[in-house]
Amino acid sequence: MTSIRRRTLTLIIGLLLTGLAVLSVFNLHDSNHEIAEVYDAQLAQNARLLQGVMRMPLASKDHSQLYQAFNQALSKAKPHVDGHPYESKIAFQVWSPNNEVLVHTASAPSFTAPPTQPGFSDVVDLNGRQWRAFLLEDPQNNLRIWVGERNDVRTDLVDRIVRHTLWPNVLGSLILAAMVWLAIGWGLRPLANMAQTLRARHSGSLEPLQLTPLPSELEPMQAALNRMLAQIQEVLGRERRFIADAAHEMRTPLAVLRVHAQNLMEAGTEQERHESLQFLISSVDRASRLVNQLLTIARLEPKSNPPPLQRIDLSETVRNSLVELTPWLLSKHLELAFEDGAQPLHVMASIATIDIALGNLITNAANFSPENGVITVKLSQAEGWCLLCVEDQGPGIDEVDQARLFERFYSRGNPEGAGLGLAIVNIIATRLGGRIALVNGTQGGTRATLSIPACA
Amino acid sequence: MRLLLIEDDVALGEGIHQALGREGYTVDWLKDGCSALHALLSETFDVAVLDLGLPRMDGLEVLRSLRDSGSNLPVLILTARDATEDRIAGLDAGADDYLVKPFDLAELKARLRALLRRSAGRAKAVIEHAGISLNPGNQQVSYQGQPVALTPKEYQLLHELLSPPGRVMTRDQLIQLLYGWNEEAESNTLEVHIHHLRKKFSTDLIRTIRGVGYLVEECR
Repeated sequence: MTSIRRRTLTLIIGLLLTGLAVLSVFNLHDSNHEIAEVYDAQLAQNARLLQGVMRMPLASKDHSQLYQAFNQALSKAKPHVDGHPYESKIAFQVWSPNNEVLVHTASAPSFTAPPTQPGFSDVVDLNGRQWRAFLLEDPQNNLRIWVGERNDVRTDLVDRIVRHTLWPNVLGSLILAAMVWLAIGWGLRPLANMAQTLRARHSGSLEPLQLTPLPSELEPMQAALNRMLAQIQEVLGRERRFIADAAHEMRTPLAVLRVHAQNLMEAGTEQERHESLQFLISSVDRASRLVNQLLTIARLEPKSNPPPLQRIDLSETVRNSLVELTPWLLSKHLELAFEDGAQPLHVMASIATIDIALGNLITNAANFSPENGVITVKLSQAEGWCLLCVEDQGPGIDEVDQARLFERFYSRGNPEGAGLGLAIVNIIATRLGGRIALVNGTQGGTRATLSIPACA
Repeated sequence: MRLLLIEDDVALGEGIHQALGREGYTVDWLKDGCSALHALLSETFDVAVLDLGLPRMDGLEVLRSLRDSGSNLPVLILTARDATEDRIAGLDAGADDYLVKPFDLAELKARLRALLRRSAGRAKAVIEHAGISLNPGNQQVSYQGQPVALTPKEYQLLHELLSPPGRVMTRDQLIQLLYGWNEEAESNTLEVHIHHLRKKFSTDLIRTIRGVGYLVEECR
């Protein structure tokens, strides 16, 4: 689980520490440099001071006395009250032209060979210690004056400086991190409140969420959530209505089944038995039809998984569908005429939905057709629409029918129908971006027109 | 007993028609609200079975109009609407009973018998009068303890005259109640049935009120 608080904190602390590290490195480098400058300058200055002393115009006997005095004084350097342990880390020595050490501190390191390169240098003594050194040549007396300082003096100092600046920084960072943690928590409190409100809700509640106060950042979230809740509520309502309607509609066929089954049990004659059985069978057929249509609606309903639409030739699809339907129509003593629109008509649809829609329109027409009636199917194109017309020679529709045609389970008083056919066609028309309309034909009968947008 | 069945579902209507016909009812069947109301207002029935979802006029409206006209005809509502509000609305509109589809035919028959019993002002299932015992449940009739064989029409006629006794029934009423619309009654059939009943029970069971009709007198 990711936490906004942890993420933000990690980011802030990360940035802070990176900045701190960069600053420290810069600081360290700078301190190093400055310390080196000061110490180097000191080395050079000490060398010159020595040079000044060495240049004194003395007799050679006095010279050796001076050297002796120097060496004597310097040899007393010890870690006691008058001295300092660091004295062992600072050294100088002076060589005569024939590499004889004239003056030296007790701490002076020994080298395999006396250094000859004038100026600053980094050298390693016989004990492996590193020295920063300055060699001054005095051409007048032919002396070489070497002043050195062990490197650990400097690194000690730098370490200390770094330690002194780093610790407060680290400690400060920790305190800052804690404060940032609290601050983020405070800043995220509206989010926590929202979560709390959501948790406190009843799990089945679809009431819109109402946060007070509503921070502007959460506004789109609340709006999206409420939109979704409204949609769920609508879908649930539709489902509930549909299930209630469907259950209600199943009652009549069930009642018919029961009545005829009971009649069958009490039937006195073979003929009565036969009659009841026939009613039983037709009731089962009717219930099956109802169930099939309910299933068709259930399959058409959810928007999440619509059958893929493809470009199909409407004339061909309708003709194929009619081939299937013709035997049934002939068995009902009805005639079928198909008036093709000559040119191919292309629409975005699926063959299955066109089959269902046409099947339902034809079934409707057949149910309301007189004996030996003609059902005419026409295809035409007008202003970007493909029109599929099914005309019958039945009694037509009155105003009451007109208002309720697409209502589910309204069957125009037709005992065969479950009243779902046109509702299904209506769903299909909507799915295909078209519409369905029923009007009375000019020569009587009903004309059902399914309009689907034409595609090139 | 003449019953008006008002049901728009053909298959269901056929079944009920058949079952109640076998039970000894004279069943007349209409499939829409308008013609049902017209028939109810202009003809004599003993009981009506009314569906609610009817073409042309809703069942509840038919019932209200019937009650507004002052009719006391027992009405049983037979519908798929099972919600409590629907039942309340149906009973408040003037229905005497309410049965939800799918239903048991035996229950429908029993409820109809109960309705007829109540409308005849009787609480007992078996009609007993002047030594006659008539059981609408199994359509058995006995006189002074001995079973009497009656033709369906004789049984119906006796049942009508005994529901309740003391009521003068006109000839037209009796013909309507016995034959409904489906059968054609010969001009003197009623008299023949009356004659047979008098022969099978006692001559003074059914009194003829000249020019008015017939009557089974109440027990003194």
